Order: sequence, then C-alpha cells, then structure tokens
Amino acid sequence: MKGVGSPELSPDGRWVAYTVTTRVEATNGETSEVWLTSTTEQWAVIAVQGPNARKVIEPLVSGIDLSSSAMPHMSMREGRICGVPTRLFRVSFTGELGYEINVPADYGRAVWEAVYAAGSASGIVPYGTEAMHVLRAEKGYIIVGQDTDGTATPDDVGLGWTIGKTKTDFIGRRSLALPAMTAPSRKQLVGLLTVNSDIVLEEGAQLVADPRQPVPMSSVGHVTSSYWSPALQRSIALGMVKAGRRRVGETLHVPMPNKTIAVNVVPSQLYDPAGVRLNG
Amino acid sequence: MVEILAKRQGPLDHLAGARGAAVELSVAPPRAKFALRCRADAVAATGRAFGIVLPHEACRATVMEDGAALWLGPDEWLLFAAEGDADATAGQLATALGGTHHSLVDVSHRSCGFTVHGELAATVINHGCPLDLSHASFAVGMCTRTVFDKAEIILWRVDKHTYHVEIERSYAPYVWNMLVEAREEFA
Repeated sequence: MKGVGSPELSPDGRWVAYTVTTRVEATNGETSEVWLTSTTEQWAVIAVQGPNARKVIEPLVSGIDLSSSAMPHMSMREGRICGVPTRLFRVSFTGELGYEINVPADYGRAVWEAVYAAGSASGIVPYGTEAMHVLRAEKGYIIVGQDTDGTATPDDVGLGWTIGKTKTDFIGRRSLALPAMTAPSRKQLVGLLTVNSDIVLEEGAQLVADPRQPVPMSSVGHVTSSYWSPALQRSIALGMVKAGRRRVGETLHVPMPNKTIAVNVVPSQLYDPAGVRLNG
Repeated sequence: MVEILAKRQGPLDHLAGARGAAVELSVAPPRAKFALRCRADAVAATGRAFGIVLPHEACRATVMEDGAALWLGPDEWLLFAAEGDADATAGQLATALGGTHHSLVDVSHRSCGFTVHGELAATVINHGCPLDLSHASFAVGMCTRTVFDKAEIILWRVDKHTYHVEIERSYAPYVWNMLVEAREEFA
C-alpha cells in the first residue's frame, strides 16, 4: 500500500488490529484493496496500574522483559501471561506505572483472578471509572468530549507535538492552518487551583478576569473537569481558557450565585509533572 | 510449549437449563477460528493448506473432521479448526497465502458457537430471524450472515433439524436467552 496507513501486524503476521475494507485511492493515484476485520471482541483487556504493577504481574509473565529499559512507557510486547498469549501494553491513563494486559477473551476472567491474587500482598483493588477520572485529571490527561468539544485542536490541549510537521498533506491539515485555528487568543487547556484549596469548583463554571465588571460579564474560559484530589490533598480542576498557556501565574475568578472563587492558572499536569512515577 | 495455566471461560458457560426441551441448545466446544479475506487466485492453495476446499458457491459450508470453511462473501470465509491446531493451522495458511493479497486474522475468541437442534428448530430460530429456512431456500450445508433480533449472527444448517449459530461473544447470552424464551412456547 502506498499513501495509506498500514494495519498493525505482529511479527508473525497473524494478528491484525484492523484492515480496511474499501478501495483506497492514495494521493499518487494508485489504488489498494484492503480488508477490515474487527477484533474488538477477540480480546479482553485488564489495566494494572500503580507503583507495584510490574512487581505484581512479573511472576505471571513469560517471554517479556518488563524492566523499564527493555519495555518503556508507551511500548508493546508479545509474550505469555499465565501461559496464555498476550499483547502487553505499557500504557497509563492514571499517571502511574501501568500495563494493559490483552489476552484472548475466554482467558480474561482467569487472568484477572490470577493478577488479583498476585496483587493481594500489595493491597490490589479494582478501580472504576470515577477513580480513573480523578487519577487522569491529576495528570492533566483529557477526556475527549469532557475537556474538549468539537472546536478543540490538538494544540489547544497541548498535543500539538502529535502532528507530523514534515508531512506534506493529511486530512485536516488545511483546517489546522486557518488563521482562526492558530489565533493566540484560542482557548487552551490549563490547570486551575482554587486559592482556597478546600473549594471544589463546579464543572462548567465560567471564568472571568475581573469579577467586579458589570453583568453580563465577559468570560475568558470555563471549568471542564473538577475533583477533590486525594493524592494532592486539595481540590483540582482543568479548564479551557483563552490564551491559557500565557496566563499561567495569573489569578482568575469564578462568579457563583453568592460568592466569587479565586483560582490560580497553572500548567495542566498537576501531579508528577516530570513523569517520575509514570516512567518508573 | 508453555503450559496454559488459565482456564478458558466462554460467555455461555454460566447459562444452564438448556437441555430437555422441545428444541435443544448446546454450546459448541471451543475451536480455532480464522477470518479470511482473499482473492480468487489464493483460494485453491489456501484450501489445500487448510485441508478443506473453500466453497466457491455462495452461502455454502464444507466440513471435514474438526474443520469447516464457511462462505460468507465472494472474498470472505470463516474457517474452523480444532482448538489445539490453531498455531499450526495459522502457519500453514499464512504460508499458502504468502505472496497473495489477503487478510488472515485469528478470531478464535471473538465469537462462540452453539447448536439449536430439534424438529421445531427452524420455527424457534424464526422467532428472531426473518430468513426463509425451508429446505428449498436454506438447504443442509448452507450458511449465511444474518440477524437474530437485534444481533448479527452466522447461521449454518448442519443437518435437517440442527443449526449452528455463531455469535460474537458479548451478544451470545442475549441471543441464547431469546432462543430459550422462544422455545418455551413449544415445551
């Protein structure tokens, strides 16, 4: 295939994440025939997250060197766990050292139980989406659709680095180059820390620069995620703020019905910004 | 060969009470399953490697011992092999297909299979499937991708009164329970 993305293939060529079913015309006019096969139901996935994640799964894994040098954050290896073939991802939506164990689905329950038993000495617990939401917000990991809407660009949320600068073309490249998409006044993702650390902001609350201005006030942004952070022992929030990255260090205000809450604009990674835990 | 210490658990394993009714539902044992997409130039060699001729005629299945090849489209087959032969079968198929334009994907755990057996099997299946299952339209040995109520299934007439249903795992208990419900009428 030329000019189109390749499916994800394992070294032995057996496992294909997705192939595409249509006739693809590349930019050079050549066509390719590719097929799409959904493997969503083939795999069960178990996320094991936390400083003890490696220690817990290591005795169950064979054929994979789990050391951080051999298998760093954002890498994938194939081997076995509990004797079962696995695609092991080192990924994290929590900010902690973590793995996502993919196994053929009929083995999911047994592998879950083996991991749970192996982690009992480390105090392993199942966690749900609410816990995950707090963990990811502490790290400034966005939820697309909660922290963003259809108007946010990768650069708005600090992900401009994901765009291939050297590519001559891709779908959406022209849109990203429009003046409105590069205006310095666009809303950008930032962290918001209330001056009074006990106050948890309302998600959706508006932010203003001057709380004494007459109503209707001029909004400079809004709160997209807000939680009490057990790790930081204070309230935390993420927001989309006009020219937000330039406002880091400024104080903004959240007008509420009976009070106004002062917040400091900070970088969006609120916990372990250097990634020491993530890369441990 | 590493010993497999984890036990397989299928999506229908916890459902009971399937036997002893007018129409019998039986969970099929696990099998190696492959989704194959390829062009005509690869069909003959693939069939030789697999040990089963890939059916050329629409909606037909060919069977040999533990294996089967189900025609699902002009360039699409679902292949069944014995569970323990998955790696060997994959290797043989990949070798036979080498050099041709194809997609071969192990989908052994993506779906599960069960049989619906009894003189009223077609009637019960028609509770959720609009296909004409008369012998004239859906003879023994025919198979097709179709629907059962809200779910997509692959339906394969194994013999006169036995149908194999292949269903993606997250929908399996739903389709199974709908069939249990449908057969109640004839108990």
